[in-house]
Amino acid sequence: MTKTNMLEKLTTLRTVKLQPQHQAQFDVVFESLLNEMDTPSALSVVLIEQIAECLFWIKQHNKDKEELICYAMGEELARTMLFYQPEYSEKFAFTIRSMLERDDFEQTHPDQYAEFIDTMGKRDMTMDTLRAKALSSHMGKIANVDAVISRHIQNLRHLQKGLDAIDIKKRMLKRLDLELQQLTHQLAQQNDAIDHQS
Amino acid sequence: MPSIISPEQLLANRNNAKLSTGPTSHKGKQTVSQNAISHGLNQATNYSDDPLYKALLTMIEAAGFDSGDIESIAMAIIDYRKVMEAYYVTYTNIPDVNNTYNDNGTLISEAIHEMAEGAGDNVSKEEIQAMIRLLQHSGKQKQKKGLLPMDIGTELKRFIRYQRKAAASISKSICKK
Repeated sequence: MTKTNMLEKLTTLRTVKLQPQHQAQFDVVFESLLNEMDTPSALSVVLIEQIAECLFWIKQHNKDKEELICYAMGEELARTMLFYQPEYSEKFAFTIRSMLERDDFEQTHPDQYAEFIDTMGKRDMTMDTLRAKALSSHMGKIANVDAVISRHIQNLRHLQKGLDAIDIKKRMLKRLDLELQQLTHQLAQQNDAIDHQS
Repeated sequence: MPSIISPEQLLANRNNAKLSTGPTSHKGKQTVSQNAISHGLNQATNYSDDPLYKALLTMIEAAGFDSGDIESIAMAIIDYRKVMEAYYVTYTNIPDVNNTYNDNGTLISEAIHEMAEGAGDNVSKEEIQAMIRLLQHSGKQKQKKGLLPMDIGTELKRFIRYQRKAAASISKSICKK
């Protein structure tokens, strides 16, 4: 089944509704989890959706954490300047983030790159020392994001436990159905035998 | 720990407290005006009003759960959704960093001038300077606090206890024997 077909069929069951910029990202996670299940029941789908949401948040908050570190580095560098301007924090944070994301930043933004390198050189700093300084001064804020991520991991475990229980129940029901079918069949055979004898 | 003040003192304190008329300063009034605004997670939920509730009851019944467990599972899922929706709203309401520091002093003083001219007011230089000082003060406060997106963890951390309760009640209600 194609992605659109599968998710369209589930529209009535969807409980997680996000803004378009997040929805696409969430759908990828949700669909990959659904593909791993053979024939999930409606309740299982609801739980899988919650699990996908936890995975989405873990990914999202990891990105947020990385961004937070970039801002912290930018702010830390801006604080070393004689006249602190909040705009510099932003500017440096953007430069650091872009440098980490793209290798061609030096070519695409030569002025910004030169200014950043110059400031770093004057303060006798490297990316590693700046990162270490930023991490130590913003430890509390980073720890908060870590706490939020770890909560999502625990939520995921709870939901996984629930999903396993439903799956076991489903398998038990299937087994009971088969046993019942077998018993009915045996009973029918016995009845036939009795009829035949009489 | 027992109270260390006398009953007379306690009575006097209570009587004095009745005379209080709440905050008097502008800042204080602004602060208390936000008291009622919250995420609403402490309010009681009317499950039957939720369109998802009925659908969940049918799904859970079809999954072979006992009639006693059906409602508790549905309620747990609804509660979890409520928490996660409030969480998402809070997350999306955290402003972008580009919107954080846009109060450039020069731009603001020019804007005040233009507004004053447009309204035909006589605004003195001193008044504009006072306004800029106020804005600079708020800028310093922001600087102390750090860039707003850094508060993401602080903003979302308050949902942890609600998430813990809601997620645990889902697994408990489903795994109940």
